[in-house]
Amino acid sequence: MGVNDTEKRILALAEECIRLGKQERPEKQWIGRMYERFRAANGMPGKAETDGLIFRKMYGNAPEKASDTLKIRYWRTGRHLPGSREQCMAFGRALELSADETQYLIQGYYDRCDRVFETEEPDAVYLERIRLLGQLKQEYLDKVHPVIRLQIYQAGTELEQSLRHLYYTDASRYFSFREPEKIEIGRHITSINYLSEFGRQMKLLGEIPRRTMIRHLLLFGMPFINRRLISCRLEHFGYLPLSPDHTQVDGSRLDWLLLGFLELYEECCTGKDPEDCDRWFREAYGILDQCLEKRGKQSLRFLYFKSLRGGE
Amino acid sequence: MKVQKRYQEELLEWKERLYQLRARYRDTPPGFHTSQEEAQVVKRLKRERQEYQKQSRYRFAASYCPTEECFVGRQGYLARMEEMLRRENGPVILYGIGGIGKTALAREYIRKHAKQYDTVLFLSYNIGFQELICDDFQLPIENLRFTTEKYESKSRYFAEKMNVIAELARSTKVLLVIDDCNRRRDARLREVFSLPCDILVTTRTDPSCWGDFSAICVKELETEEEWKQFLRAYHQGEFTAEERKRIRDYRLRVKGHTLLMQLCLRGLETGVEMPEKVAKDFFSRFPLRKEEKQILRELSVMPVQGIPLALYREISRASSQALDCLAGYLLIGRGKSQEGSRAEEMLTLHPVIAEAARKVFSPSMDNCRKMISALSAKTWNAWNRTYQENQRMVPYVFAVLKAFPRPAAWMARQLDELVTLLWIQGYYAEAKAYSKKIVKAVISYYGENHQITGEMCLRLAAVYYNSMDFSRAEEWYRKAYCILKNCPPTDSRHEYLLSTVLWKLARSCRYQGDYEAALKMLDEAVVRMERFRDSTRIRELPLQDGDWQIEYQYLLIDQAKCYLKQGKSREAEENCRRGMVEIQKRQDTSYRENEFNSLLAEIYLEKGRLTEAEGLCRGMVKKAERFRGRNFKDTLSCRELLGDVYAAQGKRENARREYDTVLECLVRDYPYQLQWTEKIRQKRLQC
Repeated sequence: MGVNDTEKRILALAEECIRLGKQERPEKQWIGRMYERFRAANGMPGKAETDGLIFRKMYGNAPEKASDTLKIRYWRTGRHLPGSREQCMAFGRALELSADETQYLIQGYYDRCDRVFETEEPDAVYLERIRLLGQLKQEYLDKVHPVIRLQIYQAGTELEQSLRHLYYTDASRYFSFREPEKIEIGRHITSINYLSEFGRQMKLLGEIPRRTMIRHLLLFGMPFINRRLISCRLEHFGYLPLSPDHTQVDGSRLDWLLLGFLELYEECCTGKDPEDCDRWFREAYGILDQCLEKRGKQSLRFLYFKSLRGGE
Repeated sequence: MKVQKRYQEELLEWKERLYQLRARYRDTPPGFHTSQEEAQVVKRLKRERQEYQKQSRYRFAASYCPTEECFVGRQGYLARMEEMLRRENGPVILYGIGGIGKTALAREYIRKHAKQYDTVLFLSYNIGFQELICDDFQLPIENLRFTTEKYESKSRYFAEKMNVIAELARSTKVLLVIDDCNRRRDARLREVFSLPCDILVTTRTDPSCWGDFSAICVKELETEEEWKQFLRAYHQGEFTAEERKRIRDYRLRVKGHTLLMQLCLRGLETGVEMPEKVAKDFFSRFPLRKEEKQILRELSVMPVQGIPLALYREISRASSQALDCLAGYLLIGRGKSQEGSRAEEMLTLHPVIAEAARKVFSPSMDNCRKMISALSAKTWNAWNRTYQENQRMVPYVFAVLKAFPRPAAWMARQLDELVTLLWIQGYYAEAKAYSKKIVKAVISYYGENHQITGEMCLRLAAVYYNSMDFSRAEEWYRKAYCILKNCPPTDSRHEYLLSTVLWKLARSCRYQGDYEAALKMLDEAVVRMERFRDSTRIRELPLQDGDWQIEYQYLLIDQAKCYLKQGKSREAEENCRRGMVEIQKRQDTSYRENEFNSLLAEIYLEKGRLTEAEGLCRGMVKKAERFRGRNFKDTLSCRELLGDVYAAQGKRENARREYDTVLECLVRDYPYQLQWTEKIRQKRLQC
């Protein structure tokens, strides 16, 4: 496939993804169904009454005013989302969702991880997820080009300690494409927020948005990624696996886009050297990202993050 | 180097890691989708790994292999080398003078033991160990090369290369030969000598300056069997008797020096000089300073047996530092010489080194003038030293005169002092020959009508006189007198010289019985001597320039002799005692006393005071023997006088004994002194 063809396909992907993003969220339809089921199970009261019931179940007392149940309405109509995970969980409990449905509520509807760890606790799930993350980090470091490695050695630091810088430099290359040998590890991220955020994320602490995790999995895994691996890993980390019907909370079809992009990647790069695959991905993503940026679709720029702006 | 090596290694390891990931994630685009694809990558990685190992592995790029060459003998040395290296006690050092066979010995060791080593390195030391080790042409190691970009300085490269060599030496058997290491101090010496391998070093320097290492002094071939092998090896066919003799003589002359003997047998004539290239090579390895070159120049003039250190230091003012330095370079030898109960340290030059030094440093009267002057000053006053004392100086005087067969006119007086010593010790022929050359040189340079010419004629006359060639002596005395009378005076010594020549001519007249003429000449001689005395009262003359008082006393003696001959014994005794008083005042116990005693003994004999005469004569004979030797004419004269005294006393047996001794010497040593011989025979017959 020629370069122009690839570009056309990427742009077509982007356009289709944007178009699909304008449709109603399937997750919203699902929550609607859950709501109706709850309503049916409770004698089909009116929606306002059902909202009131849900409120009472969530908070243990009746709404005092009409506006108290407004948020319930917003939630089921997709206008807004619960303000916090706890609120969302309460909402799900109120709707009498099953465990799987609750999981889907968090992962799908709320587009979040099933669990949040605030500390490095000796929890079996946490330990397993940390182990996988450790493996991915190590593979990532193993792939660091010798030129970069030697720069780090000469700077007197260890590779592991430079993970953050490597990640940042690596990520930035998806936006200004350069050969590995020409890259210099120089500019450090000075954002304190990023420093602490990245650090916590590498310990799987706190709320890590799904899109962020997708970015981590892509950057750590490149070029040894495909749809299956990203999907499995997402699931392993407690997120909804990649699904073409899944939308982000703003309705955008990130999964659809990513699946299509990875499909294209697999199609174009199967059998190529890792470096060639890497090069293709960067170039292709560059095209995609430019298009998305132009169209103002920040939430679909799956490798972009705000802190990069300081380094661009 | 580490950085570059690491990058290559990093790159390879990175590729290997990528390979593993491709194998692990086969269903991703870069994963292996077919076994062929994987096999290809494995093959490529293996090849790259092998190439990398080949590129990064250090190995000695070359091993020395000496060609076959003629080598005889030295089995003892080889056995010692083997033993020392087996002990693994550090390097084994072969030392000795240039051309003696050290390098050939090292090469023979390599030929014999090459199979025991994985690598043999043969390095020629040049200016220093750092330069030697860093020399990638002499010591090439695969994958190791100096560039300024990589190492910045040679000292860094040296450290790196030494580590590599040590590593290789630990894992393989290495023989390191360092040839011609002649520097006494090298900051890297200990480091190199500590390498964990067998090390052989050849040097012309005394290795004790490096520390306590095993050392073997390589000398000439030792046994006749070895020499026979040597001759057979380097010469085809049989030798004629003449050739054999020439080679034997040459071998003695060069003390069996290996290289020169080789050259000799390979076609170099034994009589021809050492090739200049060979001569220069002896010294080119050392940073000789001006003083050291001068020492070599001067010692090359000295006899083969050497010169006592104390004497040499006196005449040359050579510093101990310079001498130690040359001894360290093995260019001069220091040994002990035993003479009776006396042991003294001697400085010697190997005859080969001496010949080379003569060739390279070209000793001449100009550049050795200070030494010649100092030696001359040392031999001054030989007349008043004992025979034994003078005899010790004779070899050095001979050596100097032989080294400079053409005397420089401006060094006439110094050379004359040396000649004087020779004839005092009885070497008349040699003294005459050289004295004539001096006269010829001054005539040529200064002309016939010059004070120095007159003086040298006077000196030549003295040689003739003391060798009892009286007629020739008189010829030259007269010639000296004519020149001195007519030439313009150069300095105040003019009066002194004229006084001396008059005195000698007066002696001649006295011998001929013309006492009046003798006394007249003596009177003029006294006047001139007094003029000389007056002119020198104001300033000090160097000692050699005439102790006029002594000369003055001699004039008195001769006057006394004339008086005696005229029968004026009272005047004779007066003159004699005046002279004796002077001698006693000066506490002069030199031979001069004999001169006066001899005259006094004649006076006593004349007066019949025989006991006193006998006492005097016996003392005189002893002193004459001590100062002049048994066979010197003065000694014979004293003995004759003693014989006369014995005869006068009626002690015929004693008289005969003395006359027989004199006769024996005259017949043997002075066969042309027919008059004297006949006189003694007559006296003997009368006894």
